[in-house]
Amino acid sequence: MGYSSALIQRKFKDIVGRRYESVLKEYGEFLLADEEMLVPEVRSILIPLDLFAHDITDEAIDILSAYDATISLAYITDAGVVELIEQTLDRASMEEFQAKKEEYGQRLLERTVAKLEEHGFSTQTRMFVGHKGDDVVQMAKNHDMVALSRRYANGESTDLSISPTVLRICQRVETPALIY
Amino acid sequence: MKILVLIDGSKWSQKAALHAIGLAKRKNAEVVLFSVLDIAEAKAMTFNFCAQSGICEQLKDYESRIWKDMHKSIEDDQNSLLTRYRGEKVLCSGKIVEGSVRDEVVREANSGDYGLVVMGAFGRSGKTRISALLEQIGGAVSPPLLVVR
Repeated sequence: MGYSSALIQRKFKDIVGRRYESVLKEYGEFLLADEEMLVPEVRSILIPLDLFAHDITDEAIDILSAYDATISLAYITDAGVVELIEQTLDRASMEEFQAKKEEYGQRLLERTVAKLEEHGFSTQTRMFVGHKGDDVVQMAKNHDMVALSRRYANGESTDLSISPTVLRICQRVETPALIY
Repeated sequence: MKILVLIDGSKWSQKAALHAIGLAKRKNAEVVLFSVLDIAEAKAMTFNFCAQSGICEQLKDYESRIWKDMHKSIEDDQNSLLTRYRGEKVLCSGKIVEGSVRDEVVREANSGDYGLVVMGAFGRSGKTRISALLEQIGGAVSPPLLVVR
């Protein structure tokens, strides 16, 4: 549109005059406040990895290198799958599954750390059993940006569509999100 | 690197453009501000406005006026951002096209020139829901996509 936004952004301030502050409070999602003109620095970036998002592309690394940021890698084993295996099979099968996932996750984290450190990033890692969507949103609260593979938590689909979990994370996080 | 910044006139796309300034400076990148105007949107706006105001006989007059204003408004938005970019010594240009927003954005983003697409997390409807455009283009654009809040 641009039409109504321009009306608000450039003309509305004059129309409402002294009432502008209260209007800004009520209509803040449409008006760019002066303090929002300052872009917050990005000092920490969260990158969740899993079986389907097992590589950070060179293009993404190139963009992330623009920020002087520490990268936190997170490998989350889906708690729902763990519970399902225990319920449908037995505890031993669940523990075997979890041990294999942790072994894979550990290798993936080590490989990714090595790749990132080659590019000069400082890194930290975390691995746990949890809920991929909710836990990424929760962890993102302690970071300035989140970077997500299009396939995160989506399976090995062959089309180019974006993972529904990635969309849900983008909806809920308060930080910028890089989708690669 | 070349960065494509999607500008739709919302505060969120302005925030995206501001974020892209810092990125462009650090990567010594060139920025293209890209806007798509869809005549269907002008028609919808005109119809709703005229129907609610009881001036349906002036529908066609208002449509051409609103369409013209949409052009002027997005040009003004882009020009003010271009001024800001030039003040920051970032190489930048603007591009406005007419057509389907989804199709034109995907075409431009996948033209092979861009290393990154930057957009606002929300559109002109505010924070009710994530930008519909993100759902439409998220899986269709080749370069990484930076969604700014």
